[in-house]
Amino acid sequence: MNHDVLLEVEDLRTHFFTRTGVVKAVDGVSFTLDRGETLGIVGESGSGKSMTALSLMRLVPEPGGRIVSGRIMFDGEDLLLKDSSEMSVIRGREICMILQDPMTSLNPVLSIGNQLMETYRSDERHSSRDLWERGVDLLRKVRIPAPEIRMRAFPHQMSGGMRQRVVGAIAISRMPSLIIADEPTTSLDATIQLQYLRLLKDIQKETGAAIIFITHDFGIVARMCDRVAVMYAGRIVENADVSELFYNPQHPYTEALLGSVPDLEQDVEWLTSIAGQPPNLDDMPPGCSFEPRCPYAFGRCVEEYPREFLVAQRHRASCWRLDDTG
Amino acid sequence: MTRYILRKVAEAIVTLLGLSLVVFSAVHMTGDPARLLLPVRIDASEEVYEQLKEELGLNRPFMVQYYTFMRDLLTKGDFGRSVRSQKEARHLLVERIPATLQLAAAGLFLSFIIGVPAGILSAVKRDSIADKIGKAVAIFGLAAPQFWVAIMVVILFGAYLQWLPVYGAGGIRNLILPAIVLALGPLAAMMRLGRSSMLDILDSEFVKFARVKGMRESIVIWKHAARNAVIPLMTFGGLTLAGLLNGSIVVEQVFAWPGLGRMMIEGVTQRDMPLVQATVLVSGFFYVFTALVVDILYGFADPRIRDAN
Amino acid sequence: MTQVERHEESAAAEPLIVAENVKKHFSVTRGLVFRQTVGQVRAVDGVSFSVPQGQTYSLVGESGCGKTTTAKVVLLVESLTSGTLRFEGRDVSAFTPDQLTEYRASVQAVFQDPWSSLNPRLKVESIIAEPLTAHRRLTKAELREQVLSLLEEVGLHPSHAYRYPHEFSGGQRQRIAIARALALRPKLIVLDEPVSALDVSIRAQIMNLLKQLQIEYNLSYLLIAHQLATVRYMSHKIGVMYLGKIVEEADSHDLFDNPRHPYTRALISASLSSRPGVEREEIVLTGEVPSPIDPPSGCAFHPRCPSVFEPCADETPVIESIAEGHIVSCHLYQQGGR
Repeated sequence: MNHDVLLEVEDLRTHFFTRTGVVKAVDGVSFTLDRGETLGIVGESGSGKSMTALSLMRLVPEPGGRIVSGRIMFDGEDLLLKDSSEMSVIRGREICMILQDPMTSLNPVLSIGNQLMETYRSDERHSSRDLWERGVDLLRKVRIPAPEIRMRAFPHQMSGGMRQRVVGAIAISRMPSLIIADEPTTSLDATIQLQYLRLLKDIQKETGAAIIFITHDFGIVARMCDRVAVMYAGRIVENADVSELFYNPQHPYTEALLGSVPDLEQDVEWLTSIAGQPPNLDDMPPGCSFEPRCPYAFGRCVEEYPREFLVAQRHRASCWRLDDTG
Repeated sequence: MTRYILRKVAEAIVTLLGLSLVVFSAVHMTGDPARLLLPVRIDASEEVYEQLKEELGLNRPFMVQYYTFMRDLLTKGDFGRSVRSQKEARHLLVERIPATLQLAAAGLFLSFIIGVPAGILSAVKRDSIADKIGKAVAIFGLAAPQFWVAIMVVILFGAYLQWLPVYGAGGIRNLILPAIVLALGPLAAMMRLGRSSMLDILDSEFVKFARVKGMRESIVIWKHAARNAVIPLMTFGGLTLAGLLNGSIVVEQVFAWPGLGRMMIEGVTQRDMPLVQATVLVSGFFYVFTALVVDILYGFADPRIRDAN
Repeated sequence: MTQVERHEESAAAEPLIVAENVKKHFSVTRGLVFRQTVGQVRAVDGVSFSVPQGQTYSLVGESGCGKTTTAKVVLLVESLTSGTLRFEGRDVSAFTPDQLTEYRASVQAVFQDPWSSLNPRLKVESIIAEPLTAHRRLTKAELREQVLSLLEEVGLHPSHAYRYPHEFSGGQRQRIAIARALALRPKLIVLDEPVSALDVSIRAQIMNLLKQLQIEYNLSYLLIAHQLATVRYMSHKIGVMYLGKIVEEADSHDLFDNPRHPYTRALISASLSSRPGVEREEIVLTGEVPSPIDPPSGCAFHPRCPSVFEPCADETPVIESIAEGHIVSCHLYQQGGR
């Protein structure tokens, strides 16, 4: 298979400099994404998954947060070398993001039409009639009924599912080649979530965009993604094709996480639960960050962070148990 | 929107009627107006007293008096006469209101035009030198007593530098100093309020989303964030204006500004009840009116409020 | 013990709490001076269920279905519009003040958000001791002893008693909330989305803890949740709610293996399987949940129902028992239906 690489992230580190110390929110993240591919980045809160996404957009919260090293090669160019005006051209047009809480992603005092049309307005001059028609088209594309009326509506006049669609419409307005969806459906009910996920799939089919799902929900990953990267304490600990990861997990954290998710299809008497709490990101142990909670930990895990091992084709994991040389 | 405005106007009218009743009864409770009117040292005969009562209509039941008063007020704009000068109160008001309006408008304009952008910029450039200077200015503006600032300004610009007049009303030049003194407090408050409200908004998801969809920073700040940040300031601006319209007693005294505030003080010290009644009612009217305007502006600025009713 | 065994044991168990045709309507008013009622929100519109001793009964459904209001009725936070609530066979509305106090002590709750449900200014010791000081007369030493043993039961360290809530993670706070709920040795605990605000790896810890405590103390749970996999793991019996009504009720495995109501099917189908490659019937509902102020005529689900047919828009379906312990309210299963 011929892979056409869209995004290549290498050793990305995003740190927060606070009064009490340096919080290493993202600490050496590397992955690649092909055109049209769907990648899930799974992790718990504080694992650095959302910060990885914001780093890709170059929107790390300031003051305090800074990308301290790494490369983000997007379409052959390093985003970390772009200045802020070049970035604002890339944002929206090349990469767009659907935020964690789409319910509040729309400006309450501006009409839906205004918020849709302004994305085009920043590109080049359009007649207002043209802008209006483009807005109506977008709403139609995300299957909003009576789009002409909705253009004049305000966000509070729409239901959660509708607002979500409008956010989706804005995200695809300029046909970006990468859409980052940060927990896009956490606030939605199951039946509405399914409608939305299907819409995203359709959009992807139509535009050929690659999607990164930032989520804690293995259900979304299983349903939507081609590949998965599991994050723990600022690092990717395992990265594989979806079915490979689910049915052949190699990292103890992945294994434990999968075992702790209740199953919809069968009765389970007891779930395996992971003992303890995730580590403090401003006070990380020198060895493997999962070692304190890991049932398989041994001497080497305390001393040294495990390097990445190739388990199978396109399947990598960072765990010393995989080291058969030593 | 029309429904919303009509509703607000109706509420304002009810409030004003209630206010007039309260003011009217309060003035009556301060004592018998007829006795107050008669010179104290002469023992006025009962006959004179009764005659005066008859003349003023004070021997009629309270509600009838209120009704007559309101009827005259609403049909003829008649507030009664000042008992001291025997001039019609409305003429006195007409003399004073423009001066007060002028001063209040200038004060509000200054505090808004400087306070709001300064507050917003402070938030955008959080923790910068400019933000810190802004904070210092705001603390001074809030902490310094108005009478002290007024006197200092008079001494510095009037007496020492002799740049600007410090006494009475007249042209624009007369307006500058009292307006600055009057604006200082509200300006400082607006800076702080604007800053904190803007900081909240800058943290919101929709501002983040505006950036994500590639809007230029100037659009993110002025179109998306500032519009939302100004909404809570409108209430404050309205209350400030109402306060300013009621005449800043201190500033009008120091700068000998012939406004409502001074008239009210004169009325109270001379126990000129019709005059007090007139000024309080007019002040109340201004207050209710500005609140109404703010409510209506709110409806325009925030579609959620428009629909909430 | 397997789920089936537990179920068999449950058949004999006497219900601890029974709700019969419970309704909770809220009036929608308009006008400032002259208030007039312009509508009724039928938040809960005739719900009946029972929670047996030592078992978990779950109410599932999407937001606005009335499951949380039902929980509030059981907690006596909301009063009933009509219907009865029986606790250990007695009508709660006829309780004397003393009996009500007793009821409140026997029915406790754990809420979704462990960040807002604990008073940030109190130490953990005081938080857990609060219900004890309100309902029981204990000496200081007894109180302390009880608090420490409660902490141990929920898997916290005794030293945690002297810290404040902000020093804990979400999972630990939820343990504190559980300790507080356990303090008075209640018979029923209302669990309102107890794990949905927690991280994935912590959810299993808390669910396991709740299940262990249930076995140990023969506790009854009324679980309110929207995540179906969680509900399957925790529950003995499940009621599916839509617009204020229970549309289907069955034992946990029966409901998931053999769902009958089209809404239940859609809900299960919409819940994402936690494994890739699981083939399932795919039902995508159109539209969203209608407003409970003006619910659709007939069966409230009919505008979104993929199996809608003639009687649905006009007639309200009645509750029909289709198997042992399995009831459904749908025209497809009515006598003489299709």
